[in-house]
Amino acid sequence: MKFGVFLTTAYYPKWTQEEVFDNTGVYAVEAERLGYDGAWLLEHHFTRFGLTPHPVTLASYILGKTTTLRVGTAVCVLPFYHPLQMAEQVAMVDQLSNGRFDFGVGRGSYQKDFEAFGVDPSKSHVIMREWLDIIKRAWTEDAVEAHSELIDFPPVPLYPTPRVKPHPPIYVVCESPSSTEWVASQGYPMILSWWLEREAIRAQVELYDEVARSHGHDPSKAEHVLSAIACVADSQTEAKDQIRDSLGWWRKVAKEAFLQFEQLRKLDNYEFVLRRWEDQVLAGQGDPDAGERATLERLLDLNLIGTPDECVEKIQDIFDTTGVRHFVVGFEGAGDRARTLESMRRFAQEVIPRAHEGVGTRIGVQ
Amino acid sequence: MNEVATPATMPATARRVPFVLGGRRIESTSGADVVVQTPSGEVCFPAFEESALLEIDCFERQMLADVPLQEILSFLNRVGKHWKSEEYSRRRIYIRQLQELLGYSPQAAAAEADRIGILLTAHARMYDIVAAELGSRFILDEWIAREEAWVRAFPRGLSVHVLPGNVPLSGVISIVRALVTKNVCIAKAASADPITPSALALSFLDVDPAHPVARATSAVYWRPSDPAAIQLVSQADSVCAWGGQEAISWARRHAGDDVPVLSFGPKRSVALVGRDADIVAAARGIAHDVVLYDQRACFSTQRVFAEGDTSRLVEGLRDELDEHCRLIGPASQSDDELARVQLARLEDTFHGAVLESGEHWTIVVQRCPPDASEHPLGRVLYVHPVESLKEAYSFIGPDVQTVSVAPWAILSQHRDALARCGASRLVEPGLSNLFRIGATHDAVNPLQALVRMVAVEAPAAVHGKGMVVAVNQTELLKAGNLKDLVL
Repeated sequence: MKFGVFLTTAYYPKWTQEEVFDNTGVYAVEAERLGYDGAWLLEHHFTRFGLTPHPVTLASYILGKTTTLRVGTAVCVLPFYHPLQMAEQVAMVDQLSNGRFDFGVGRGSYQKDFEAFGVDPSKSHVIMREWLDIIKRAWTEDAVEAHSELIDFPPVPLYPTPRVKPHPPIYVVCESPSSTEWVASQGYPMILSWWLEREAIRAQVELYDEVARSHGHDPSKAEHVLSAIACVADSQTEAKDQIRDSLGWWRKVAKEAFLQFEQLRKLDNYEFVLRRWEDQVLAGQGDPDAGERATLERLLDLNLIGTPDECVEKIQDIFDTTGVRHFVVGFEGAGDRARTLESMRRFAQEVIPRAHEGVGTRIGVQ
Repeated sequence: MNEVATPATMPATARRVPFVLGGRRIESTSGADVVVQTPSGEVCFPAFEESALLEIDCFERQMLADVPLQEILSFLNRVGKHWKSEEYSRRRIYIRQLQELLGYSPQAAAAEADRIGILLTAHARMYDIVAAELGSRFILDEWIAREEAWVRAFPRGLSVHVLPGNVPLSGVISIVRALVTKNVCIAKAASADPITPSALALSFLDVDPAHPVARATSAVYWRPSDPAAIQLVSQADSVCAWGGQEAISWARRHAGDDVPVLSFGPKRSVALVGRDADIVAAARGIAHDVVLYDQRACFSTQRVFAEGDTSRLVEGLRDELDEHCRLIGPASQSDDELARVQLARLEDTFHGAVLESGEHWTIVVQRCPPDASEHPLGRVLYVHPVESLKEAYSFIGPDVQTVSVAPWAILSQHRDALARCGASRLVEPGLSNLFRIGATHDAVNPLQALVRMVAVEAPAAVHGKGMVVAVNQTELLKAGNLKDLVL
């Protein structure tokens, strides 16, 4: 099993921006010291949800501060970049870090981003797929060119090319079945979302497996990553209490920044998101606030929040249900630096070893 | 029962289908897995044995009794909205599996998933169905005044449903009936459709595994000889058995003495077309009813009795069958099924029938119906010319479910006779699969078998109907003038 940490750079009301970045550096170094496999970075614009508009820049900083920790993006929002520039930047970071970079990509879902960058959200999936194809070709072919409705450039060679051959590991965040099917058809591993019920994730993995197989990929080789929220404390109540408010704040900020309902209704390629919003309202019996409260409590139950025993149990349950062995865990909901570090430490020392042991027993590894 | 293998002989390609027990996915039990041949593939189930039975024994059989019907319907609605969405992973898996394992065409598979979504979201219709079958939409939640009593429908408890393999939606209907009547439902998949019950139960878990409806729904598979299955059925509070006579007899044999056993056995369905029918409309409706489910459903039209010259009708059917085959591609057929159709064609030709065939359909025009029970299915439509539709009566028996009639205006001339002959449903061509609110199913109101109608009767102080004094039976007996006082 693998465990990474999220470095969210969430700009909580009580912190200054300087504190957010200072904390991020501290968490990264501590993650390496505690033996975490990686640190994963988000990309956000025009919102306090996260202060990382350019995750490759932050990745290069973290990679420079560490020596063994892998650093990944979860995700780079591809439609907001020129694919060749992204290919160059990632190749350079991969070279400088001696191949410690994981390239996670997505298509975006925040309204202001699309508006400000002039990207049509109805085409976000098409752009992301085309850009990723260009980036991969840029890394693996002598020269790359593109001539399509979306982009046009003559043959150019890429410098530098990645140190890792044929290219750094690629992950794609996906939630909708359409995205899942496309990702499976390409054989990329998925970054799975922390707010889905276990069975919904299982269904997503099953769909992935079927489609991957039908495209000649061995699904057992796809190392999907599951994002999760974590908080370790002496009781589940204490753990939940520690993060409830900040998680609630974070969701509120995200909701405000997300593609809004009126917009979503016009976007066929975000139907999945619309359905989830609708379901949340229905879960609250038509009261959006009640729905949000119910969803928040359900998320606290679903995620790795509780005593070490409870966290181990949940990890094993997730593994049993979904087969996922790679977790990226966000600890920053604990509210302050000391509690976040304490939670990271307890998770590393009291949860991860036992999770390894438990899953090892389940799959017959001694 | 299809071929069953132990793991030693289990093919590597068999797809695993889990049990869902009380809101939990069960991948395996201590017994040897069971491999089942489907129409076009194989699946592997956990064994239904002691541990599954023990788990079911722990279910609180009245766990839905105090859950308001509106909460049950709201939950089904939430699940149904997912099923209706093309951006739902389980729907996509289900559609793929219907094609791979059951041989469905892509259109037919997608249409089946749509129908599941439509059914689950039909909360308004469900209230009406409850009202139509049980007398009031509120009767599952509260005591309803009825004459001199207050009645309320209580769930029977553990409701075991042995599901059909021919129409996936029917299995879903069966489960939904159990849930709206607040029963704990154990749905046993058919070998001809091993995927639908689990897919539905898992979709409940996608939405909320802790919801009472999710916890009240289980999906399993067993072999008729499995001792645990026999024990389970013997402990059930109600049983609903679909499918062939063998499955229904099995359920009746093992159900408890006082336990209601609803049975939806094999049926056949026909169409009657009178002289004055709008031939184009009738042909369109009949073609729809033939093509949908490839004649595997009880309500699928297999034969048409048509008054007078049938040439125009046959011409119309040719066009409409072509059109409907374009709309709903045919299921893939096994070699055996294809051989049956070919053999039937040869026999019919030998007996002087006129055959018309398209790429995916066959029309056999034949004056006298052959043995009523013989039909090769697979979009083979028999057209029997008659002088009067009354000639068809002798062909109608209790094994006939749906009779579609065109033109609709002649229905009143035939409905009493058809009903007396045994037909249980009369519809217009093209509507055979739509069970209207208020309709019966195989001549019964199914919800009634799934509840106990309990009555609280008025106390003595309430005058009985037709009485003008309080009910004091001892005094009336003493006085010996009961008749004078009461009436």
